[in-house]
Amino acid sequence: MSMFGYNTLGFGSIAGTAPVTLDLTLQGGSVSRTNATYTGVSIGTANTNRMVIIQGAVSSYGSITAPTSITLNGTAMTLVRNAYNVFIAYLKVPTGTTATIVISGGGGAFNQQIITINTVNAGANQTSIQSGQAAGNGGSLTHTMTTDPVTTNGVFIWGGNGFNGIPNLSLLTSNPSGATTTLSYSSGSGGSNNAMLMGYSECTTADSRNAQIRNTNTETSGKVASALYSVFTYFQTE
Amino acid sequence: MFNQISVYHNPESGLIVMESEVEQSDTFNPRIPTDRLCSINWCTEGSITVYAKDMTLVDTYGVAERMMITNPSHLSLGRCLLICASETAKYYCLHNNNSQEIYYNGDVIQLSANEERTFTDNNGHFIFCSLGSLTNLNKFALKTIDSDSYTVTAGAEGAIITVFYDSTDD
Repeated sequence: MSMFGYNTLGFGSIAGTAPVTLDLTLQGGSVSRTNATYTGVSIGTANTNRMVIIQGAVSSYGSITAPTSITLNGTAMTLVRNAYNVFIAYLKVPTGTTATIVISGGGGAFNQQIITINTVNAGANQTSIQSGQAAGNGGSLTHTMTTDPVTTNGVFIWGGNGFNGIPNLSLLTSNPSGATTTLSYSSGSGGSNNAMLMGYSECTTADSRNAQIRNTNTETSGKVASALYSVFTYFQTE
Repeated sequence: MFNQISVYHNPESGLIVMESEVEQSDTFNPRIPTDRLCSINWCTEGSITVYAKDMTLVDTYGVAERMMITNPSHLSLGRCLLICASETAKYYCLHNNNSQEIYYNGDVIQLSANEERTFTDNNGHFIFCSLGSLTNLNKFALKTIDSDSYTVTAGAEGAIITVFYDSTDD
């Protein structure tokens, strides 16, 4: 293949299309947002294939209703929301470098990370919403989403929130590239028994891979279970 | 104790089916005030006893029985308690994850091996399979009924299907 995405064959030139690259980019860092209108939010460089993704999780104790609506420049984002404490929203946004984001229906402030990727697809290829409880005295609960197969231009974006007991969260994946954390809050921070952890993992193979979040409950009485709420998404470029 | 996972999710429409492995108890919350449930709930294993918030016994529901709360005064209490009445139970909750304004209604149907069933009043409704399979629908898949006389055939292991529709405007 020559430059500029053209395949040159012996019988002439056939116009081709350069493959879309994922180009996962964090737009700024963690920002706390609640039900309100936010203007001038950076969403990076315009691209016809740009997908804007917002990860959200709470760092406050208890069950906080996830937003029921998020619009970006007036268009509704697709929400992958657990009932409480964690969500991922996404929308194709080809133009502009900043956006107006309107959040509503949520029960409080969520720490949020904006991620952009490129994909020709209109949405996520796979999603999963899970919840449960890790028993006390060292019990653990692992939530898993498996995608079979992933592609080398795919990415898992996921995370969760744990509370009650003493939650200790970890992001796991069978991807060789491992998990990169974007949002975190550890149990014990500020005296809270609440934790959140969100991140992503870019795929480098073309086979079955998974993303996981584990809550290990280190309370010692054995009487207090620890809740885990999680959401998973998998995107790929084509 | 419960673990809950989405076995079907359409993020755009919000339609979601959650599967729960129930060992002890769980709760579900109809809207307040309401005179009907916005969700469809059923078991494919075990049985579950449903109590109103004031602990009035509603009923015990076994496999493929849609959990109904027919007494409006119980619904108005806003929360129901589900107690696993067997050693374990596997139950499903079909609802809209994006909006509590959307209601679903329908039937849970158990089909024996290779059983045929024809639906004549369900054009435009949906079929979701939560156990076994149909010849044209796998477990945890969704299909739209697209004719006035729509016949399904269960696979060799039988099937539990939910035939439902968006009943918000009823």
